[in-house]
Amino acid sequence: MERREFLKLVGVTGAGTMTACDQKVGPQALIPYLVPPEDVTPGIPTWYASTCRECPAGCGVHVKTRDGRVIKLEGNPDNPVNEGKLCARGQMATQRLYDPDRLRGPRRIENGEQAEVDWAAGIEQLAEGLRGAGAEPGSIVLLTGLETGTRDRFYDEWATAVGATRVVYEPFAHEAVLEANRRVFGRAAVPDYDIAGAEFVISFGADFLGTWVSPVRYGRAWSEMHAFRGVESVRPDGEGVFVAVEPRLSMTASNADEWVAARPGTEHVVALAMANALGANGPAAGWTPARAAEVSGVDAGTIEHLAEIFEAKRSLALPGGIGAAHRGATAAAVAVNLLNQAGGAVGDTVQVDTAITGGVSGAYRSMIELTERMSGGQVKALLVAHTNPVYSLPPGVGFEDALDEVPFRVSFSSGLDETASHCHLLLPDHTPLESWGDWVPEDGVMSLIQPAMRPVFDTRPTPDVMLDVGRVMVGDEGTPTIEAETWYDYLRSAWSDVAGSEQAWAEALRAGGVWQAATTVPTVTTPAAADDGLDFGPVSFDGPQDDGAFDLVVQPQLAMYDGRSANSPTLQELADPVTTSCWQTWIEVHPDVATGLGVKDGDVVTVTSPHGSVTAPVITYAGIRRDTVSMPLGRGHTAMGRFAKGGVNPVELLPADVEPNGGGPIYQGVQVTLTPTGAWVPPLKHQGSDTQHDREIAQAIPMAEALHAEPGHHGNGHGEPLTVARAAEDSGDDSPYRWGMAISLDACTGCNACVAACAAENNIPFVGPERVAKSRQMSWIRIERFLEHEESGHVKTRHIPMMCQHCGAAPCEPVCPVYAAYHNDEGLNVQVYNRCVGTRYCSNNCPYKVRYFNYFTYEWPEPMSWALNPDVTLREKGVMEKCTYCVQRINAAKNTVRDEDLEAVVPDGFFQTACQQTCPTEAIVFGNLKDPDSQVSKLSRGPLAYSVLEELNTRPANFYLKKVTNRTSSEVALEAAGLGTEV
Amino acid sequence: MSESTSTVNRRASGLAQATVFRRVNDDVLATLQRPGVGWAALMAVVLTVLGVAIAAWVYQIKTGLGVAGYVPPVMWGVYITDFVFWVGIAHSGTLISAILFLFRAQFRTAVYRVSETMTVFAVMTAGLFPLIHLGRVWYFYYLIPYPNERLLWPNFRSPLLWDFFAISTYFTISSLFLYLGLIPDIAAARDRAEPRSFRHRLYSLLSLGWQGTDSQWRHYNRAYLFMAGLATPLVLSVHSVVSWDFAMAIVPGWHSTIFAPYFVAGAIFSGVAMVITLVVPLRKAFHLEDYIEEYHLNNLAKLLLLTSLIVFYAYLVEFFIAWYSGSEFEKAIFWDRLTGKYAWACWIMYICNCFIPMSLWSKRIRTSWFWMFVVSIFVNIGMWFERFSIIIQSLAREFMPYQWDYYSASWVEWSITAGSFAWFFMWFLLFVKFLPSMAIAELKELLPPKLRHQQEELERAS
Repeated sequence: MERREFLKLVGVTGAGTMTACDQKVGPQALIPYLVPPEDVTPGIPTWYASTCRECPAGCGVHVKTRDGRVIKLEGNPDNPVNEGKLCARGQMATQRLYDPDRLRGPRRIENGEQAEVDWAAGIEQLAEGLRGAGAEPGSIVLLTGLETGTRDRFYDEWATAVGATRVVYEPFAHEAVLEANRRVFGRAAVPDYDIAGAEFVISFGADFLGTWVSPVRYGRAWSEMHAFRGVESVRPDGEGVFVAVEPRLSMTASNADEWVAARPGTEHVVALAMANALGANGPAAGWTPARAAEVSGVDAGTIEHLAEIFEAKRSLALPGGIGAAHRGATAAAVAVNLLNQAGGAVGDTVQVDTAITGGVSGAYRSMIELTERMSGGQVKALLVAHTNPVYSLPPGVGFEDALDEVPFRVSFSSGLDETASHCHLLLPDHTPLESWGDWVPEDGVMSLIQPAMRPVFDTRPTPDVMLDVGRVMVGDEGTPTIEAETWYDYLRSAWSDVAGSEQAWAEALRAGGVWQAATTVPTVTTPAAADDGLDFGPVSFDGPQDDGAFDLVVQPQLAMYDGRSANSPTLQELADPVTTSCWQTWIEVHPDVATGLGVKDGDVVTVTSPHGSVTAPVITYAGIRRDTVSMPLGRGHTAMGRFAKGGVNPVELLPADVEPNGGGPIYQGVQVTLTPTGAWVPPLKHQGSDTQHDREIAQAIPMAEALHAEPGHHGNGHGEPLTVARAAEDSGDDSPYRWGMAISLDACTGCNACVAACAAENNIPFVGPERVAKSRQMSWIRIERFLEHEESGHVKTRHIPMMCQHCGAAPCEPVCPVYAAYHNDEGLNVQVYNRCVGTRYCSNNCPYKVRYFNYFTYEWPEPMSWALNPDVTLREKGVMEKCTYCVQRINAAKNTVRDEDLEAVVPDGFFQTACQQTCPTEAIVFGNLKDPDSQVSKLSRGPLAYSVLEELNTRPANFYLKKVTNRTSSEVALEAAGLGTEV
Repeated sequence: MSESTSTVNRRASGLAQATVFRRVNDDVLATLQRPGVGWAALMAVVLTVLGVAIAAWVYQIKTGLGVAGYVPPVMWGVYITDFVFWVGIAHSGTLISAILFLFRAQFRTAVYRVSETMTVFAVMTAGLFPLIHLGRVWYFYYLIPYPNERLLWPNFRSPLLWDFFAISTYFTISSLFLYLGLIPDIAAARDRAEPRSFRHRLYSLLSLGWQGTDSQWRHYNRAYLFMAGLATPLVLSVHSVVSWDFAMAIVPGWHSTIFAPYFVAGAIFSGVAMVITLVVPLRKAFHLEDYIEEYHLNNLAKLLLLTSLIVFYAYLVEFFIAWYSGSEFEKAIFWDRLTGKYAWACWIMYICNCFIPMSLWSKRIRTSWFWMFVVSIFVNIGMWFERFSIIIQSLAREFMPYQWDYYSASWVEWSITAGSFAWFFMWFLLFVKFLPSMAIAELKELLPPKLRHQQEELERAS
């Protein structure tokens, strides 16, 4: 071929190819920013300070946005509530924002059919409906969830303006605790419990590390009190001790030094008997430890011993949770208060002057009253915002039927939940990440909520809708107006006292709020009538009371809370910290009881109470009393979205009556019988075996030894002891880094916050229940939970976060035929997705089993994919993946440092991995093992450090710090005395 | 020497009725006649099963490997079981044709062609599974060391790569060996074929101009000997390499030095069983009773018994070492093998591989066509479950109790497994109709010289 001819040919074919490409792709609009937004740099995240609204705790958050989209939440380190930490549900707030089943605009429901309306028409219809409701007092009802701060005030003001009655309902409103505190301390609020300052914490059913009041805050505090951070961290007068009194070994109890398994409904009797042993009078007078032992099943010696410790140490007793949600709930909470008084905790570890606003007095009772008025036809218009009573009230209340008696029903819910689907008009609110607002989690802490992105759908802030309705109705006679053009104006003027100037406002927005010292100091009183009308005896549950019946404990589930998080697929898939199950509602049964019933994990039983029956699969759990079974709340939705449908709703088993004193619901109040149905479903447990078969994966050391342990003596004696220095050798000679982790098992509570944070950071897909049934869940980090059956009959739990160990001699690397798994210069064990052909040999050869295979190409339904982190590659089917130590953060940190100084090394603590960042108890420390002064190096050199499966000589970069057991003050003494509780 | 003479005499008596070379040709080449209804029906079944398997594979590629039953931590399942099973089957072919050739064990003559073809087809079947089990089969070429602009090479430390070379080498050698032995026989078939027919042209091409001259025979015999010498070490090395896929891993139940000899013995064991499974019906269908006799069967049965004992010994040693090692993980895995959720698979394997073959101590069973067929089927099943047990049970209960789980295969895996048998038998059915399934030339070598006199006399008389 001639040269010219060749060139001609190349030219023609080249042009042809390009033309073809052009036609295939079609016209595209690429419009650059003519005037780029000031705060957006492509590729650089923008952060907004705001407040998490996934539960009433109100943790401060920093919302990470990229190119105008929210992609992740992290705790706001300045916020005094959570100090930079966040729980699993907070991490997954993005899935509420991008919920594919959210209402996409205002809707009208007629004859069960949804019809789109525009906002003007919707507001017009709302005004019309309110006019039609008449002027009778109570004919219009505004029903909201718990609100604090400005929005709470706004709702009250607006309700007054339109002549509505406001009702506040929250499923977990701590009614009994509030009532007890009103009676004993003169203030109906949750006091500031100084868990961090206490030396001895005893909880009577409060799941304060998981779901109770403010779990992140308490998690931090607990770790400060309890976690072993080296000999110097132990107080001179002895280490912190935590005892849990409850019938079931909950996640919180699983972190206790001693679990005292009192019969359900008798937890407070133990408290009273302790108070009695401390010489308290009043209600405690008759309750000697011996008498308490009879009803509670707790040994009298144990009670006396606990009382001794309570008196000797700076102590704190926590009421609430499952211990104060039965018919004697107020008495139970009063009993614990009395114990606190008897032990001198009030005014010390129990600070009543700064209260947490996480409760609603008599919330449940007001719903019963509302239902009665609705059934009586007195309510003509019902407006529901941020609460879902059709789901969370027991069916016996009759709320759902009563709704039919209300001629005009409006929902402001952003999703189509059970209550909304009974309404005529749906005017969806923004989600908190799109809204303005504020939140007052406790006295003196005012957190701001600011929109982090433009609304995803055609929604409007409910206060703005209300202002608009007010303007439509302003012509009506006698309707007072609210002095504000918009909700933002209203909020802004409400903040004029604390942040009046533009500068102060901007500063408050930047910081995420304003924190002041609490100002209210009510006097602590103990009115003589504190125990008026209270029965302090053991509470009996509805049911046959025979051998075939079990007391039912119903508790909020960590990932679901009251059911509001049920349409988040990642939370649905999160392993329950107690059973490691997910996506369904199970019933926990003691293994011996299960054997007696002839059932095993996954066998479906019909659970029948005097008030209803549901079916649920059995999960056997050694951490529950033999006379007790337990079910988690939050699943079994009939509406709300595609992910919320699994499981059943245990409230169907519950009585409708009210706890007479506090006005709360009866979550613990029935006995149930179990009838096997013969059906079996996969138990959906993440964990294979509940025990570690003496494999020393999660190791522990008695406190007495921990105090005198010598560094360098870790390991279990099989292999060559591993040293940090040796681990540090496993990176390139030229590299200043060898990344590693130190994970404290004594601090880890098993709360799964790290799991959710990792999923958010690393685009980890959810796989759905069918695939969890085949153990194909993808989470790169998991909390292994091992039950230790001790010789004394006690059941203890160890939690161990497990992720890629980035071994120096990684077994996964040599077996990969294509070098997809290789060791990089910084000691990271790297997985090259593009190179992986999917032989899965690496996973077979990984002793830690921390590699996860993409059996399918997993997808996120729109707009859930908007939350994907653009810094992390998505993986297609056929590819192996695993923990990268957040390599994108490592690289970002190196780049940032290099921008300043080419030679500089990333300093210790310059950045954090996602799991480390969110861990409420700071159990995870990440850093450079080559830097002898880094925190991770120091910890890894410590006496408690060990490597998992050390004898395999894989030289992991993860060092674990042993859990410290047998704290001298409790366990040794109890067990030595032959005391304690056997289940 | 005397023994060999007596063997020849025994063979001679066996062929007493087949007194002419022509009859050998007639009988063997009769297998190449137009297929009957039975053959066509078998082929139809085989193609249907294969079609389903191909559809299943396409579905798997399109949807993702998740349509197979994998339950982490069991990341290898039935596909790898099938792979090892077929590689194992492939082994006795070379053993019978090459090693027994070198040892001058003449009982091989009647069956070695069948076992050689079995080898080639089994390797062709086995070779599919590493592809089928890949997560991203469309990138399978990453495993091939080809020069590329990214300067990326495969990882030569990975046993999977050794496997790739071992299997491809074995396939090359065993197909060459098979072809070499076929040349004189193809020539015989050529001479019988209708001139200018398709078969004639095919055989002419394949016989490479074979004329049966002395020099051709001399070269042929030399080449055959060399090939046998080359193939012999492969019998040992290839399956050793396959066993290293497991032995090089740190998985308890895999990580063991006994694996190479253990797998080789197992491979021969399963291969001999498969030869019996194939030969018994073949003999019946093509009326080859005069060529394949109880004498052959008896010898194959003895080989089966010997390898069964070796395999049994290996099983016992595994348990001993697990106990002797003191490793908690090893002990746990072997205890679980006997008593755990996969104990059923393990007991199938012991019964089929160790206990049932013990019946072969009885000569009556060794020489019974029916019983040997039954025993060989049991051994085939047992050896499949041996691989199943080793691979799946070991993975299911590895180091981390958190991840212990139970795997069961999905319909996709079963379809493809059935399809692998269909694929194998498809080739085998084609083979028996296109190429002589017994070595004509070598059979004739066994005819004692005196028979040649008889033949001449007979011819003269006629």
